[in-house]
Amino acid sequence: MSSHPSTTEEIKTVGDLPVEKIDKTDYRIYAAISYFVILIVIGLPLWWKTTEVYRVPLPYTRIAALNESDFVLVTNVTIASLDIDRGKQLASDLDNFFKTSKLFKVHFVVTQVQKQILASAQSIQALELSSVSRRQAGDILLLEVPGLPRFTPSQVLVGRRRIVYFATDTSSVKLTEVLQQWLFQEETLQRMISSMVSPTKSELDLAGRRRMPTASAYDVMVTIVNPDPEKVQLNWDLQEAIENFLSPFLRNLAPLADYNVKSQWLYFVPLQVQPKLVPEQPGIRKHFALSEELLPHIITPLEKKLASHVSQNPCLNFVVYVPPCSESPLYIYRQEGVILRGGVNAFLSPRWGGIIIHNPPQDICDNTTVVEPKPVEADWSKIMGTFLAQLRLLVGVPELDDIPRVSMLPLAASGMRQWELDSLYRVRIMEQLTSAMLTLQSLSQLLGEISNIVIDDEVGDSIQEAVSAVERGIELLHQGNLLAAFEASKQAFLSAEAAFTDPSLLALLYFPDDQKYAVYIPLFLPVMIPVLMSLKNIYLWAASKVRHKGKEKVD
Amino acid sequence: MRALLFFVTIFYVNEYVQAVRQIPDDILRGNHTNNWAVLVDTSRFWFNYRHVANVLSIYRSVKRLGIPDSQIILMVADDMACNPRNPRPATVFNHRKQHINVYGDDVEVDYRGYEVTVENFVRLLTGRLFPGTPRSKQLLTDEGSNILVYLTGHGGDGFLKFQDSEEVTSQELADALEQMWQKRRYHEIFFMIDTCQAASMYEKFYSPNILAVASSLVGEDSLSHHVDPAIGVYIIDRYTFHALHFLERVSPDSMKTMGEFLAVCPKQECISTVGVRRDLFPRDPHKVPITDFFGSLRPVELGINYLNVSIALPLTENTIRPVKQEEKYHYAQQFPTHLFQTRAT
Repeated sequence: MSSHPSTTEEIKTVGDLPVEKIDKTDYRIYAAISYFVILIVIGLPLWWKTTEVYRVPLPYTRIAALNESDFVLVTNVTIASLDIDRGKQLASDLDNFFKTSKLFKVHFVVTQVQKQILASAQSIQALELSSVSRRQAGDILLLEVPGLPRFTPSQVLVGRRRIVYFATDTSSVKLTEVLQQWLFQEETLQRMISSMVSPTKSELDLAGRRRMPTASAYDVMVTIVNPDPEKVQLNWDLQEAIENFLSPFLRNLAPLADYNVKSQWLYFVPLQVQPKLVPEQPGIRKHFALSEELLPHIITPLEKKLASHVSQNPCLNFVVYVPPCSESPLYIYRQEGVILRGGVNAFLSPRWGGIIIHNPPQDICDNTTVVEPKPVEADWSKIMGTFLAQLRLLVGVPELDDIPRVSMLPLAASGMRQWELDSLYRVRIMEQLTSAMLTLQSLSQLLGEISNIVIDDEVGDSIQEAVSAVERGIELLHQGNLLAAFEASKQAFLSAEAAFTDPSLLALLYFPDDQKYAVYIPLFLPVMIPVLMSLKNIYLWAASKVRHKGKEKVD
Repeated sequence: MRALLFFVTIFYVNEYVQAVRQIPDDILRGNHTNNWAVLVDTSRFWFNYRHVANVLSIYRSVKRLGIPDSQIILMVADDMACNPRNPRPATVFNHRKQHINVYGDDVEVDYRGYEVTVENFVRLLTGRLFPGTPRSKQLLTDEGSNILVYLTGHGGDGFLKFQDSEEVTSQELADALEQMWQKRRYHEIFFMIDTCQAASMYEKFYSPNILAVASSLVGEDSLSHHVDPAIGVYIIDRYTFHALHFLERVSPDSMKTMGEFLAVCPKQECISTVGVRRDLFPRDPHKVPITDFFGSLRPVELGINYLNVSIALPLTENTIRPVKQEEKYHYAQQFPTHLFQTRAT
C-alpha cells in the first residue's frame, strides 16, 4: 500500500475541483504561497531596506519652530537721577515708548545718584573713568548731571562708555530719541532682518549696504600706489603706521572677527582716467579736477593689480595714491562741479574699501632746486585718520543723524565707543541668527522634498549643532548676555553654512522617480505578474478549504 | 580768417569746460556692489570651434569692460588652441579675417578639459565644492553681486549637452539657481544662452531677479555665422557675433541699456528668433545700464570726514619691537671638519 492516497481510486469532489486536482492543487497552492511569501512578504521589505538611502534623522519640527520664535534683545537701562520721583517718571515715559518695540525689550531700573559725586567731578572725562561706569555689554546708564551746562552746551551728552549724561531739564522725548536712534538703532536692525527674510520686498539701507557681509575673518589690505617713482620718492614706514593707528582699532574688534592686516607697495600703476586741468584763476591755483563720475573707473582697473583675492576672506582695500608733481594737485570734484570740502581727498566704495589721493606738498613741487626723485613726507594722522573713518563705516558702525542739542564725546585712541561696539554686536548677532535660520529652513525643505539624498553623519551633526546654537542664542538674548549670544550665533552661522555647503549633498546617488520605475519595471514585472495573479487562486483555495471544513463540521 | 578764429575760440572753450557726463535721471544704477561672470562652453572637439570662439569673445568683452579675472569663472574644454589641427597654434579667432586673437596671452581658464562637467557646474553654482578647492574655482558671490551667466554648446528641448557624454536639464539648472537664491548668493542674474532650442533652458526658472535671453526658441536651431576656409570649420555663431558687434561699441562709461542689448540680432540676421524672459526681473531693461552686468563699476561715496587720531597716540618708544638681526653670510666650509670634532680629552 502506498502511503500517499491513490489519485485515481477515490473520486471526491469539493466545489468544482475534482479530487486529483485537489491534491495537486494543494501542492500547487502551497508552492504559490511560498513564492508569494518569499517574493513579496520577505523580498519586498528586504529590497526596500537594502536600497534605502542612509539618512540621519533631522529635527524638522525644531527647525520649523525657529520660524515662530522671535529674536528679542533684552537690555537693562538704569536711570540715575537726583530726585527719585523724576527718575520714576522718566522710566515710565520711556517704558511706554519702548513697549511698542518689536526687537527690544527694555527693563528700566531707577536709582538715586549721590550729589557729591557729581559735584566733585571736574570734567566729564573724570566721571567716565570713575567706578560708576562699569556696565555689562548692552546695558545703558542714563545719568542726570545737574551741572552739565558747565561742560557742554547740549542737553544730552553721550559718553564713550555706556553712559548718557543728561541735564536736569531734559525731556523724556529727547532721551527716547537718543536711545532709539543712536544707542539701539532699531530701524537698522529691522531693515536688515526684513531684507534678509524677504529680499524682494525690502532692501538694506545705506549703512547696511556699506557694512561688510558677516564672516569669521577679514583681510585688510593697505596699498600705496606710486605711479612715477622716478619723480616722487616715498620713504614711509608703513608697517609702523599700521601698528600705531590701525592695530589698536582692530584689537577692539578682535572678539567679533579676525582681521589680518597686509600691506603692499605698487609702482608704475597709473590712474586710468584723465583728470581735467583747471587753469590758474584769481584766488585758485592751477590744479587737476577729478569728477565724481570718473571715480568708479579708478577702482575698476586698480582692482586687477591689488591681488586682494589670494584668500577667501572678504577683503577691505585701503589705497593711497600719490600723484607726481606734474599731475598734482589732484582734487576730487562733486557731481555739481564743486570741489570737495573738508580737505580730505578721499572716497569710499561700499563693501570694498577706500582710496585717498595724497598730493605732494606744493612747496616741494615748485622748488626746482630739489632734485628728482623728490621726497614726500607722509601725513600719517590725516591718511590714517581717513582710513579709520572709512574702516569704521565698512565694519558696520554707521554715521548717526544729528539730534538737536545732543552731542557725543569725541573718540578716544581706540577709535570705538563701547555702545557702538554693543550695536555692532547686536547687528552681527541678528545677522548671523537670521542667516542660520534661513539656511536651516532652506536645507530642511530641500532634504524633506528630495527623499533620496544621502544625509551622512557629518551633515546631521552640523544641522543639530546649528539648531541647538540658534536656540541657545535666542535664550541668551533673552537673558541680555550679548557676548555669549554672539558666540552662540557665530557657532550657529558656521555650522549652518557647513551643513549647507557640504559637498556630499550633491552626490548623484539618487535618481528621479521615473528613472527608478524605468529600471525596475522590466526586471520585476514579468516575475511579479504570475505571483500576483496566483493570489486569486490562493484565495479561492483557502475559501474552499474553509467551506470544506465548515461542511465537515456540520456533517 | 574769421572762421579760423571762431573755431580756435570754440576749441579753447571746450577744453576748459568740464566735460562731466550727466547720467540721465531715468537710468538708475542698480544696488549691486560687485560683478561676476560665469562663462561656460559645454562642448569639445575640433568641429565645435565656434563654441570656444563664442565664449572667449564674451570673456574678452567682459574683461575689457572691467570685471577682473578673479571674478570671472571660465569653463572651457580648451582643446582648440593647442590642437594639432590648428594651423595657427596658441590662437583662437572669431572672424575669418583674424582681427582679434581671442585666446591671447592672459586668458585664465578656471575649469578646463574634463573638469567641465555637469557636477562641477552645479557645485560651482550652489557652492557645494570640496574643501580645498582653489579660490579661482569658487563663485564667492554675496547678496550684492550681479552675475552674468553665459552658456554655449549643443542643446535640445529642455537639456544642454555637456562634452558629448552627459546632459544638464532645465529643471536642474532652475533648481541650482533657486539654491543660489535661498542662500542669497546673487542680487541679479543675466542669463545668456546660445544653443539650439535655447529658450527651453530658461523656461523652468522660478527664482526672482533673473533676466534671460536665448538665441533661439523651442523648435528652432541656432545657426552659425560663417566658415573660415583656412581652418575648415565654422568659427562663430550668429547670435554671439551680433552680440559682440554691439559690445565692441560699449565702453566702461557707456550709457547703453540692457533693453538695447536684448534687441540685438533681429530675425533677418539671426534666422532664429531671439527669446527673452523678463517676467522674473523687476526692473525695466530699458532703464538698466549695460555695465550693471557686463562691466564692473563699484558704487562710490564721497564726503567722509576723517577722524582726528592725533590724540593719545600710543608712543612707539614704549613698545618693545624686535630688533632685526642683520643677516650675515659666509661661505660654507669645503670639508665640514667641525662635524667630526670630538672634544679633546
